[in-house]
Amino acid sequence: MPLWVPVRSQVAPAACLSPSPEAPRALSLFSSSSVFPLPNSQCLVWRTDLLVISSFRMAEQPYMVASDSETTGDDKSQSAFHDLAIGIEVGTSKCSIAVWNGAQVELLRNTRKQKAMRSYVMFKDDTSTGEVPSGGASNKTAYEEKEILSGSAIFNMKRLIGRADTDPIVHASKNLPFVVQTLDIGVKPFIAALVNNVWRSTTPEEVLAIFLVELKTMAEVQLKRPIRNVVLTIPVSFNRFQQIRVERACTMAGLHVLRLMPEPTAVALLYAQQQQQQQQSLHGSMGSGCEKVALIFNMGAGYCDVATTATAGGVSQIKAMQGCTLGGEDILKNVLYHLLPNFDSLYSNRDMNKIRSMGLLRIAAQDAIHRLSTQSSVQINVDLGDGTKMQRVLHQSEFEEVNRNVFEICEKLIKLCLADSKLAAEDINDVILVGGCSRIPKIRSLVLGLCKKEKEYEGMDALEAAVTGAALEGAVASGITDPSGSLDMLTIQATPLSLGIRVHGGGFVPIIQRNTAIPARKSMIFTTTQDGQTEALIVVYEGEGKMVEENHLMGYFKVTAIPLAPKGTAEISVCMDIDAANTLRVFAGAMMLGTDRANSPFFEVRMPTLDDAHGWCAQALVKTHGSALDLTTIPKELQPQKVQ
Amino acid sequence: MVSPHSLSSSQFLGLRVALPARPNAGAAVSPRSLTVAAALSSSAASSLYEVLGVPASASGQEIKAAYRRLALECHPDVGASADQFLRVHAAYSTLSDPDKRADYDRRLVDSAAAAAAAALDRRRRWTYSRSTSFPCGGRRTWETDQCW
Repeated sequence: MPLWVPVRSQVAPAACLSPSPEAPRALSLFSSSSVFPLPNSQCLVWRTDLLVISSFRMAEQPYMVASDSETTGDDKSQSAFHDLAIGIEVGTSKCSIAVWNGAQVELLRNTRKQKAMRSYVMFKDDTSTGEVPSGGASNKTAYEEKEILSGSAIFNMKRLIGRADTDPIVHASKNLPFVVQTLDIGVKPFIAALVNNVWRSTTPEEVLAIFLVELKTMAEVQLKRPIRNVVLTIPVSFNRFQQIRVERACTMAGLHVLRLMPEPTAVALLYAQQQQQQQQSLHGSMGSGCEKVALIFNMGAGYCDVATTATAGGVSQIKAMQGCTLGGEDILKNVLYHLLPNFDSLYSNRDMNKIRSMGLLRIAAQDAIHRLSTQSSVQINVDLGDGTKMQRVLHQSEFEEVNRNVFEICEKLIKLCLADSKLAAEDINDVILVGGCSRIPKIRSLVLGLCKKEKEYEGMDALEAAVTGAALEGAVASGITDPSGSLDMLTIQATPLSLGIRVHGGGFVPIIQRNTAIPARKSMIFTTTQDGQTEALIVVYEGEGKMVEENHLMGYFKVTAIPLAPKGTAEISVCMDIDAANTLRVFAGAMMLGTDRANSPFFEVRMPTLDDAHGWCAQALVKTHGSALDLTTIPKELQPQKVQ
Repeated sequence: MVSPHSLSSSQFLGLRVALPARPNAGAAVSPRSLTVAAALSSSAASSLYEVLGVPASASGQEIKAAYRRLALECHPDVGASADQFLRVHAAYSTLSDPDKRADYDRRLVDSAAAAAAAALDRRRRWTYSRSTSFPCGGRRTWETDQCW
């Protein structure tokens, strides 16, 4: 048995881990090097033909990757096509890649001809090459689900990434075959895979990065060009902290994120294209056409998203979005606990036999759920291998009963989304159902019922719509145009969560409201809470809670040089700016008394600035400074007006 | 050269603050300066209708269509600057809301009448009552200003 090396580093080379502003440099490092540093400090030797291409390109145009994502549209030469961003959807369970091939979007297949590849990374010792973890996209080995559930593979990265160990989703992940440990102190959870009978630690970002490296290699081999830019789909409910972790995983994998696109907005873009083509074939090349409103319901293994979009003339405007961490995993968990009420206590000790039987039960339950989409009852026959056999029938009504909470949340999300977009069921032209869970009969009837529709929108593959939309966005944002006009389209995105700052007393004041179209820029004036206060803390949060502790802390900084004045008179301007790539910048400073001039240079801070232990930081700030540096709002009528 | 302070101030405060005329001619070509220019000259130059390129009598449908047509040209995804889009979107978000549009139309008439007088007392009005006299302003609508 090979020796386990305890010093196996968790840390990628410094360049890999640097936050996004440094990312371009890290990427150019990668592309000029023949040895690819994997996040877990192993190295993958790059195919030499790819290497030649990339170093040549680097010499020719050294700032290719570093260039601003707002690509200018005038570069329509062949090199533009080389830079074309691919679309990737890393789902909780499955993953796919798509690319604009010059005429349409094409989904790539792995060597097993699969378009949807299982998302996991297997940590296994391979004595000949060292311990190279391999993922579900791998060309070499196809692991069976049984092996994936043996504890040696990490999956469900999307549910774990960017979450603290106090998060209920992380706690719910403890029933997975690999180890998820929590200490409930608001730091990154400890996750570990079983290698040679030892639980070896890793992190969700590392796992995602390894997986992305595989996808990248696969795409590069098939497309015969280096891949740099990607459009990645994410769930609506991902906060900026989770987004930054995903971006970091991409950077580790040598990918530059052109856009992180909420999944339903990618579907909306595809819808816009389909509507545009339909109208063109009906009325020739008529410009804007009539407006169509669609509700998009997307539910996969990990997340549930709802969005409404209004589309005309190839432009899709996102009206509202709602999302939460709810998906097939929760449905599976409900069924598992229904089949085996003492599931937790049975599997808490994690001996190998228990893990194996837990895996078998998981597979059987999963299969039963799939079959219940078309049958009214299923027979479950599973030998758990430890002397217990499960033989029973699961009825659809039983299934619907144990998952009642799931359906209730779906219903709530749809209602919230409709209310946010000020739409009634009658206003909706099309209901688009995508994601694996949209095949569950109860969910279909529920969504269609709420939208008062008999039938769902046809013409979209439920499992391919999001990645196809991402590939379209990749082509549009890379500046590619199509002579037939099939790329003359756009999704005007919106922010799914409100952004604001903490005010005196711990309240949250949103500056950019949720569902604001992006790019967006909004500012507000705040004032001091103490006489003669010269400094103020700007503590930035994201979320919908009225109090800051219900929301996610993004970061903080101090505004200085506030002119001496009685409390409530000094003016502090706080401006938030979200650019097209969804980067948030907060800009703040004090105004000269009674004027519209800055008292001293403003501060510009890119958010989030925080890494780990963000729960602690807020507490530490309060403990150290009390309310001495607090701000408060000024009456709405005294806020500066928007100048048109 | 642009000093970092004046550049970033203009970029973020353009919507609210009338900055002193900036000495740098170079800024005129910066896409960010478009908004600033629009903000500064808002009472004189382009009305929201002009921004969208529609007549003041345009219907809601026409406004929406114009916004979408412009979005295809001036959204950052298709290579334009964020400021161009922000300007178009700001015009759209006011004109697509019947209440806000009525309010804006009223102020447009008022400001034309008051244009002559404005130059005289602008300085004074700014000092104590920004809320009612900022050129071309209106009730701040940040709490409802969504994309729809």
